[in-house]
Amino acid sequence: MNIYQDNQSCFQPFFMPESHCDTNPKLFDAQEAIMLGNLFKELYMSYRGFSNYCLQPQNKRQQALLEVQTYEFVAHEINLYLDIHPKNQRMVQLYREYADKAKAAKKDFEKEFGPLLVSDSENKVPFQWVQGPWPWEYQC
Amino acid sequence: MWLYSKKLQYPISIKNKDLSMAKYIITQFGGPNGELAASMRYISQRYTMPDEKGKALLTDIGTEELGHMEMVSTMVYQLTQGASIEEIKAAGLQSYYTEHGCSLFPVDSNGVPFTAAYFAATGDPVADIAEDMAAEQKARAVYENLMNQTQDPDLLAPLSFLRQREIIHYERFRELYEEYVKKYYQPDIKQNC
Repeated sequence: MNIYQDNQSCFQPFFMPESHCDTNPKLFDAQEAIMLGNLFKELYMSYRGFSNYCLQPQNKRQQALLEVQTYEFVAHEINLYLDIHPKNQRMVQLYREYADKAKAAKKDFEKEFGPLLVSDSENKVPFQWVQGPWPWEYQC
Repeated sequence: MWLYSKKLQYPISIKNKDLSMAKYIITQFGGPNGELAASMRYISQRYTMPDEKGKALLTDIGTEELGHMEMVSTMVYQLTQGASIEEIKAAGLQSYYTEHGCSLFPVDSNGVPFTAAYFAATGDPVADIAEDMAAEQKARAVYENLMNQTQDPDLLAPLSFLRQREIIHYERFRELYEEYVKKYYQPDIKQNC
């Protein structure tokens, strides 16, 4: 994964301090959100211009994995929001949408690159789960 | 119950070895404001949360912090890959190497080992969530201190991501705290376990 700081082709994060709105929080799009580590525009706070990185996958595996990471990240952000605001209907709907996208992306990844969960291992010898790369390894 | 998903929350691929940064970053694994402490603190505190929101939030953030522990460990692992004894000496990591070789062992940047005292669970929801808010701010400050010490974008990107997560977690804890202060801040009423 190549990471470029302040890449020109990359979006400039938009930040507008506003009062926190319970009903309709303003959201970054999914690709911006994972890049920044934050889905919520009102909560984004950069540090010395460091918080702006484009994620550039170097191969098909990284690309497919980034898709899973991106949608899972957005779903997780909405999950934390809903823990505190469980009655927000739009966010519940959005959670379902992104959880489904993550599920589809995971299926696509696993078809080509092996299981992300042990229970998704196919009926094959040797057992797929045991095969690397593991997440902390470079080639991952 | 927890399930392992064979991936990081955010991609990490560090090309350049940097043992001094590894020595400092390891504090976010085993230090007082690190991810292991955060995860264990939230997952322990959740049992005494007075309502569903608190139980859900501490479970979900505690789980995410386990993923952050994995990210921090990955950074330390990749930063130290292929290090020679000379490089270990130059970075002042001989004591660590003597005890732990090249493994991941939870210490802070001074080499002080992890302690369960970092869990900091009081059983009082207002005190616990206030602790958690402070913990997120302290972790954010440590990530900034770490970011001040490197120019490597492979390192800055995940550090920046993790810093941003502290800001989000702080906000969610703050929202819960405000509800809890209104609902449960009654120190004169002693609750049963």
